[in-house]
Amino acid sequence: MIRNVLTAIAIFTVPVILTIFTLSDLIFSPFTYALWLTMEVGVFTTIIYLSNYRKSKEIKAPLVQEFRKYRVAALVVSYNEDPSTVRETLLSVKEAIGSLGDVFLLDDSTDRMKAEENEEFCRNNGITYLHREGRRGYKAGAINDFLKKYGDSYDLIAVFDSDQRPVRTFFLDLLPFFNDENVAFVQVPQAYTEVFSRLAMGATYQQMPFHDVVMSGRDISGSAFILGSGFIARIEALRKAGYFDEEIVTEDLATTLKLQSLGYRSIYVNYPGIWYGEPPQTVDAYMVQQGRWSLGSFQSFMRILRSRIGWRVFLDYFAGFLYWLKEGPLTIVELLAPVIFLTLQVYIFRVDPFIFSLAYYPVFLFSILLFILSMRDRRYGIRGFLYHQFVEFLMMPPVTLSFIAWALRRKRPFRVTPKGREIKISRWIFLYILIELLLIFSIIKGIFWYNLASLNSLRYSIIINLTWAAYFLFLTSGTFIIFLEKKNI
Amino acid sequence: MVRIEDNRELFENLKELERINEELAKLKLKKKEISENIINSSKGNEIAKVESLFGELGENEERVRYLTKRKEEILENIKNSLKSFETLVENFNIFCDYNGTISVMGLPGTGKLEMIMRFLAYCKKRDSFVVVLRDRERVMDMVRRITPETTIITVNPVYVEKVSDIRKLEQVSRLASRLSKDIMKVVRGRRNPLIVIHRSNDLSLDRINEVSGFLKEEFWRMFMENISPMENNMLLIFNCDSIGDECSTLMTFSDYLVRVELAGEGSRFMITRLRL
Repeated sequence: MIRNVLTAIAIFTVPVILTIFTLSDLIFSPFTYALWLTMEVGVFTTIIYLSNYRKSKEIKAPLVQEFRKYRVAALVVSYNEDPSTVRETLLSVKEAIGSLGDVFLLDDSTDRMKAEENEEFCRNNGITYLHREGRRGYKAGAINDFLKKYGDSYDLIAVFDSDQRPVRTFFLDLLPFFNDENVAFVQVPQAYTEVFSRLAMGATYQQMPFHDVVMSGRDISGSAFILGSGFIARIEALRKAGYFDEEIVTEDLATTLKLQSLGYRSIYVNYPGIWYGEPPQTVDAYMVQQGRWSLGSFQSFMRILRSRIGWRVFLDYFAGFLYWLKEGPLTIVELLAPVIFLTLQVYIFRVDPFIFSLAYYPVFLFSILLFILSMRDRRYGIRGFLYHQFVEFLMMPPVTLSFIAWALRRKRPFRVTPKGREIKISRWIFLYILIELLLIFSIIKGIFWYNLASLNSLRYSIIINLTWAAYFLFLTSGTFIIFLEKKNI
Repeated sequence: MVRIEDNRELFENLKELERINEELAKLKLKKKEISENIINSSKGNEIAKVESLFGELGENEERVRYLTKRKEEILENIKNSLKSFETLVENFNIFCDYNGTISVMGLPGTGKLEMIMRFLAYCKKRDSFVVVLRDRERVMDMVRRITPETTIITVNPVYVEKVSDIRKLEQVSRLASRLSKDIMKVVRGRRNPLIVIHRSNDLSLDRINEVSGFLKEEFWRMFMENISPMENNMLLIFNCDSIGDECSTLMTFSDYLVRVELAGEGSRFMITRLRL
């Protein structure tokens, strides 16, 4: 634990030192600090990504295992979902589990019609229907209530969101991993199969490196975590961990930390165990999803520091935290830095622009090349990379709001990712139009300034900032490809 | 008693097949070496050397063509020279005491798996295992009905992804060694293990188009090296669906070949001894 804290302190202290030596104006010192932190986080997360990429090619779990029977409860969780979607998922889970266990629908729906429809379907299909009036602990609370009531009758639970359907062999494939009594859970990648919009396509591309590289590498390091759906967990281990954490909006991450702190093993099996999955189709839905995920990660920060986990495992979790920090508040700093410099003509830090370019650009280019290289065998390509970057840039506002909510200790309600059949232009577009205009203005001002500048070092600084502004202008323009799509699914 | 015939001609064919496979592997390595030399010599403008290397490359290619054609002929000869026997049950006794490798081949739906399960049920003096990647529900059903003492060993689903990523010899060796070693870990300490690989098609690299025949053979060679049924007092049975040439490679590594065909309302089994 001390090592974890020291590592975190080191990461956040190095930019302080760099700020002291490069400060140009005290007013901008938080900005200077944030910029150095951004660069440091970029280097740190690239190193962790490289390490995970190298590890992702290995197989840690045994290639063959004896098949043993376990008492399995398969839980489908639902909250006001379309009953037809819930029905299809229940049937899919029922077919997969066969004679190996029982299926339960944990329905927290507040829509009476939907709840009744779900209940009737369960009654007619041999599925146990469980409904709660209050939504204490949301999804985690529903699972915990189930475990407390039925946990003694089963060895394992499998959890599926109502829009994630397992393949027929899901249980036959994954149950043997539990022969090792130290295995607490087995997770498979979430699938995004119903891609009907550009946003959904971007979200799908965004998931690919996470599943194929990050989680596969983390499986080897022992830091794979529960993704909320498409996993099987050992009830005894959950009980020892005090069940699912109901305090954090992403209960899965916090619960995994508890399990790993207790010495349990986690397994991530990177195979298509889910044959049907719905990604967010609209920008608004995506914003809600990313806001929730990032808030969960921010809320877990102190737990990550306090966990009794190995240093390498800690680094993975810490990199996950820093990723959200980088995609939210630090992206705003990165975006505003060239704008401030080019429009107000003030230096945010004083560094020789030539040395800065030599030091940082290779790292930046390396991170992009590494990313593309790591995905070269996986139908990702340049198109996937660009869509990935565009949707990642889209998540800047909700992630920043989550960061602010976490920093101010403000409670935010648990919101499920909304499902919609209509793709329309989101109101978030106004923010991005503003960013676009700001960047265009900065670039024009920068070009005029460059023509007037006589000092070579100043001209070089302007070029560097123009490059950054152009890079963000490209990303912002890319988001309009997603924003401007209108259709009915 | 049913006689299991030693087929010398077949044995000779198999030996030649092994020699051809080895030479083909060497020729492929040589081709790579010559190609690299051509590139290097071209960079140095060594025209005479480049011409000579092209000549060598042509000869190499001609030999590869000849050997590939000969290999096809041999495989055809092997198929045609298999001897036929009417029943298999009477041979259960012989096989139950045998340590080595048997390949059971036939078209899908000819009753191979059921015959193997009956054999496992008969051979109770050994601990039996079925290694399965796909088709698990059928295997589980048959095990439950016919031979409940048999242990089912399932293959990690990631295996499929790893196989499809294979491009190089080192990857083949690593995967085959890991697979065989992990199987050995499960069966260690059991009574004369009898291991069925159902189906060898699912585990092999046969359906990966980008992988050369040499790598496909290397996979089974590495696999067999670690299992070594005779040294480890084990009986290894490959259940292989005869689709295209998918089962041919296994013949090189098997002591007996059992071919299964539909005959009338049942199945007909033809047993051939492949090694002396």
